[in-house]
Amino acid sequence: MTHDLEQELRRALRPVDPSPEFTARMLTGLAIRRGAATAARRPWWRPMALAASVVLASGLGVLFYQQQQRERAHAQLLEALTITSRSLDRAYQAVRWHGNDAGEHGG
Amino acid sequence: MSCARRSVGWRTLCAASAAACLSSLASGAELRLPAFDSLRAKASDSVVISLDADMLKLAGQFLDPADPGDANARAAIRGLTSIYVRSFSFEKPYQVPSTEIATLRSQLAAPLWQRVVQTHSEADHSDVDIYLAADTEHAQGLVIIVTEPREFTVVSISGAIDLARLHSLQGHLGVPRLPATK
Repeated sequence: MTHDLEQELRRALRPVDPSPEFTARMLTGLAIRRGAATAARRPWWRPMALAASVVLASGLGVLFYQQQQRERAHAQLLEALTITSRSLDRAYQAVRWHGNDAGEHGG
Repeated sequence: MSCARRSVGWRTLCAASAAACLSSLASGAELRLPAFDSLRAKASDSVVISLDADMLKLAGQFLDPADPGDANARAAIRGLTSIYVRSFSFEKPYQVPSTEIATLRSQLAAPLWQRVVQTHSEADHSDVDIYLAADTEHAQGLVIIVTEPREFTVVSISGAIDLARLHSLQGHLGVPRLPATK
């Protein structure tokens, strides 16, 4: 009698492989739950901070480039004006010297 | 009414013509400077500066009004539309670039351009030529060609030019005034 019951229980509780549909449902459910948990853990402001950092970095880059352009233009301008002024001064000195020379020879 | 309207139209036409003349004079005063590649290759020191209207504006924004040198520079560039400089220094005497100078001089023709200064010093072996493009009242273009035994410089400036102010800049931009040659 006891032996029969035991046999009966063994038959009823034998290990059975799950059906493919059950496995698929289980895995899908797990994936959804995992995704929800990850989204809940990620702060909402992170993408915005990332975007703001990119915008800020781009802005700083542009500002730095413009600053460099202005500095270069500034330096070039001062050098150009210096050379111009020096060249005019050479002409002025030459004309003055020629004037004095002509004066000395004439008088 | 119709007479007044005709008068306004006539004035507009005159103003437009004057503006067109001035702009053609200004654009005519802008030269195409040769590259002077042969000089650049042999020069110990070369300065090639091309500042068009946009670059002048950009540089002008960076000038500090509190700094006397910058204030002078700002006043000097007011009204200018371009500055081009080609300056080469050599350690030993160089071959004057006659072809490029001839190309340049061919653009400096009358009636727009007049050679206002031409000096030659036998003692220093130097030449200075100054060409000016001017209407009845204002200088619109200036070209300076300085040829010395170890230095060659060409400066071309267009726009409303104040020669006295440009000359007075020396000694105000951190560069000492040159001693008198004689």
